[in-house]
Amino acid sequence: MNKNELLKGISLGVVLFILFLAILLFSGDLSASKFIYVDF
Amino acid sequence: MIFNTCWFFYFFIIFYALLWLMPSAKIRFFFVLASSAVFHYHFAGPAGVTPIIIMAIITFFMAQWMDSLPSDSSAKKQVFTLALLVPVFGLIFYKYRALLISSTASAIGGDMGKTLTEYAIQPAMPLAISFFTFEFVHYLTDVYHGKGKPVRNPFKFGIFCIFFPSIVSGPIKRFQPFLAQMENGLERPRLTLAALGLAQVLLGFFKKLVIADNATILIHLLEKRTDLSFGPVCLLMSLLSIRILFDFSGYSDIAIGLGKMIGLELPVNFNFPYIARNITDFWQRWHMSLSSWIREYIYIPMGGNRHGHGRKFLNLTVTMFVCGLWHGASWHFGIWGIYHGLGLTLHNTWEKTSLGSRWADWSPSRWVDIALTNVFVAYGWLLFFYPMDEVFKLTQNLFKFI
Repeated sequence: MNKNELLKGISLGVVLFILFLAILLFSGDLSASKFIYVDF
Repeated sequence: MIFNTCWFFYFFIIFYALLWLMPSAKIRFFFVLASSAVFHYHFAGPAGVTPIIIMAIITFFMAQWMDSLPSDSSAKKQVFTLALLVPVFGLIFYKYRALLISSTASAIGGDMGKTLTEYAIQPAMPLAISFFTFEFVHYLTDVYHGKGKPVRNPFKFGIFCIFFPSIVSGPIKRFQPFLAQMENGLERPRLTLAALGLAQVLLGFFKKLVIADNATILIHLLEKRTDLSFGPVCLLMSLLSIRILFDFSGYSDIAIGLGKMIGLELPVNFNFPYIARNITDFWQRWHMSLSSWIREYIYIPMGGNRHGHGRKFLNLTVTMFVCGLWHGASWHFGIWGIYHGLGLTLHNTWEKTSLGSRWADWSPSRWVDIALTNVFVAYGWLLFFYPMDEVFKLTQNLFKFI
C-alpha cells in the first residue's frame, strides 16, 4: 500500500468517524423519525 | 421508518457478516435474494407481499410471451397492453381507489353520492407498490420495444423486483444495467467500493437524522403558530425545502451506499437540485430516477415535443400531473404536479423569446435564476405538504408584512 492510498484511507476513516459522532450527538427526534417517501 | 429501525440494524449486520463468508458468487447471489425476501416479508407482511408476487409472476410470463410473438404484430401489441394493465390497475386499486370513489361521490352528490361514499374504503396498500409498478412498466415497455431481452431466469427477475436496499423507495432501477452486474452470480464486493458505500450510508443517516429530522422539529413549531406572516412563512418554505431534500436524498444515499457495500451500483437520484438555474434543470437534478422514468414512459409516448408547442405544453402538464399524483393519493399532490408542469411550460416559452436568450447571456443572471428557481420550488413544497385550504391560508399570510 503506497503513502497516497494510506492517506486516502485515513481521511475516509476520519470523515466516517465525524459523521458517526454527529449522528450520535445531534440526531433529531428518533422516535418520530419517518422517511417522507416511505409508505406514502 | 425501515432503514432507521433497530430490526434493520441487526438484520444488516448479520446479513453483511454472512455475505463475506459466502464461498461462491452463485451462493452469494441466492443469499442476497433470500435476505431480500426476509426483509420484504418483515416490513410488508403477507398481505403486502402477495399482490407484488402475483404482479411479478404475471409480468415475468407476459414478457416471455410478448417476446415470443413476431415484432410489429398486433398480437404482440395486445399482449403488451394487457400486461401493462396489470401493474397499472394494481396501483389504481390499492392506492387511488378511495380517492377516485370519494371524488366521484362528491361530484354526483345526493343519495347516489352518499351510497357511493360507502364504497370508498381504501384497501391496505402493499409496501412500495408505487415503485414496483414503475419498475414493472419499465421492464415490459423495454422488452416490447426490444431495448432488452426478457429475463429468463426467475431468480434474476426476483432480485430485480425485491433487492432490499432499493425495494421500498427506489432509486427506480432499470433491469439491464442492474442485472448486467450479476451475469455469473454476485462477486465479493471490492473493499474500496464497500468503504465508499459505508461512507455514503453514514452520510445518508447524517442527512436524515441530523438535518431533516431537526428541520422537522422546527417545522412543527412553526405549524403550531397561528399568526404566521411573510417572514415565518418564508422560513417555513425554506425549512420544508431543507427537510424534503435531506430526507429523500439521505434515503437515496443509504440505499445506494448499501448497494455499493453489497457490490452493486444503483442509479444516482440527486445532483445538487437547489443550484438548478431553472425548473427544467431542477427536474434533471431532483429524483433523477423518477424524472427520467416519467420522461421516457409517459412524456415521450404521449408525443413529447413532436407535435408543436401547444401539444408539448399539454403533454408536460399532464405528465407532471401524473408525476404529482404518484407521490400520494390526494389532489394536492396533483396540483403540485400541475404547478411544476406550468413552471416547465413557462420556462420553455421564456427560453425561446429574444429577451430570454439575451437574459441568459448576461452573466449575473445565473444567480438571479438560481434564486428564482428556489423560490418557485419552495412555494411548491407548500402544495406538496399541505391540503389546499392550508395553502390558501399560508399564501394569504405571505402578504402580511407585520
